[in-house]
Amino acid sequence: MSRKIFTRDNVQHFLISNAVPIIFILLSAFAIPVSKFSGQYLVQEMLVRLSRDSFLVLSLLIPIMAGMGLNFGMVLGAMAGEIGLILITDWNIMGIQGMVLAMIISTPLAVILGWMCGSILNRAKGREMVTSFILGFFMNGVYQLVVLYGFGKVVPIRNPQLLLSRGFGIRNVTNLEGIRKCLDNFIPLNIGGVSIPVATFLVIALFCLFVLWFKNTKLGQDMRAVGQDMDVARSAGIEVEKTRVISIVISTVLACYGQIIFLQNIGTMNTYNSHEQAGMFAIAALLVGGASVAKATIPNVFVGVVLFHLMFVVSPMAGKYLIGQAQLGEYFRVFVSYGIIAIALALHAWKRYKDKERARRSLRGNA
Amino acid sequence: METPDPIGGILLNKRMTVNLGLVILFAIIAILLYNSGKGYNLLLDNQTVTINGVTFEPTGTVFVSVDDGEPVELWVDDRGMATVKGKKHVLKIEVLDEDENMVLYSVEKRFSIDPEKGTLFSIPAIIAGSSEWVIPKER
Repeated sequence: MSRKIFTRDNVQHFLISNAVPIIFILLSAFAIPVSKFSGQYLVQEMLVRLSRDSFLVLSLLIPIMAGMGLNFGMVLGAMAGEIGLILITDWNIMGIQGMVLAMIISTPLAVILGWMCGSILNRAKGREMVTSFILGFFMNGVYQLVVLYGFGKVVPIRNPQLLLSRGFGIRNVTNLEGIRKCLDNFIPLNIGGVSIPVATFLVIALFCLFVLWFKNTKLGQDMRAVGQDMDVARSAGIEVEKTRVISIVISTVLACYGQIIFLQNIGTMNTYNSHEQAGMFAIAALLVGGASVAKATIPNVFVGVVLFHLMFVVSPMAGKYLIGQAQLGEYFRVFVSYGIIAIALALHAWKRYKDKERARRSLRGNA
Repeated sequence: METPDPIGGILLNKRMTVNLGLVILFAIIAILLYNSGKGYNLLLDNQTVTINGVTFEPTGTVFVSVDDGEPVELWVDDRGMATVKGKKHVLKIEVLDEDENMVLYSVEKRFSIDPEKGTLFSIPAIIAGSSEWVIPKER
């Protein structure tokens, strides 16, 4: 039995399956000592980034379960969340109340956008990722039109600090001082100089429980069936198209909440760009955690966020100490975030090829 | 003519009622959140002021805090600002002696913000115990 575990084939399979996290662990192992950051600083940074990003990354799990790949359309949810945040900033609603109100306001918008995205993706079966990616660009244009021209003209905005000097359109940066860290500091806890955002982690834990519960529901099982084989699922009486749309709607709404949690931690919002980064970085983090286009688990989310952001934190300083330029580290991390998506997609295709080969070999047996 | 399906009709009605109920519930929650989370900038005025024909003079330097928040130090003829959330608050004024070393006495005032009336508060009027201490918007 033990001989079977360490066969060349199994080791190769393990390395291929976990190539991205292994690369990141090796890179981090090299960069951490070079960056000269203290352990306490790194732990604090990782806790902050885990609380900030995990919800967004978790929102990607459900579409993967439904076989729709990485939902690049999550930026639509992020846009809905940002519109809610702009409105509560205008009304000057502060604290947890402001955050929850932003969630309530943006939920219908996220549902509509999710439904639209899901319906479009149903017309592009097999090409969901590229379609949702381009859909994100399209909706970004619509968002800019609405926020740049609609806000202040069609949607009344009374706060002059929000508006551009011409009297309509929202400024480049929206100050979220009223809700800054309201969830993170809701239950304050400090252990050994490291502050832990307990309330945010509780919300994330609830979300994880929701995902686990959801997998076992009728709808969750339907999604898994659809994800495995649409034709078989349809034959079994599952409404494939409807199930796929629901998965995208859930993901978009959760991405909307994730973006609100993310921005309450940051405290300022880049009105026209925040959502673009949200999608790209969340997907990159999930892939770094060892997830693939077809399979992602909750541990993948947390491992990915830690590894990806560890690189984010240490690479500028590592670049500075190695070459004398922190800017190079910055370039490196941007290169890494985009590059890792390409590597993960290529590895996924390669893994599928290898898996098929393994399956063929196992069918042939030793003959 | 097609006869309506009674079971389907009941289900539809039930679903619509639940959906409508949820929408109403969320609307109520949103209104409650709006009222309890609305932020106000209170202007705290330690200047000579005349309200309804009565003139109030500042007593000296004071420390003013709202809801046990960070105290704002106000000298004579000074004005400060405090940001608060929600409508009901407690204002605490500590009047200092001439050397500004010791608190002579303190005054506490429970109040509810009326945005129509204004958010510019006269500290001398509160210390004097006047019932009119919100400086009207017209000023």
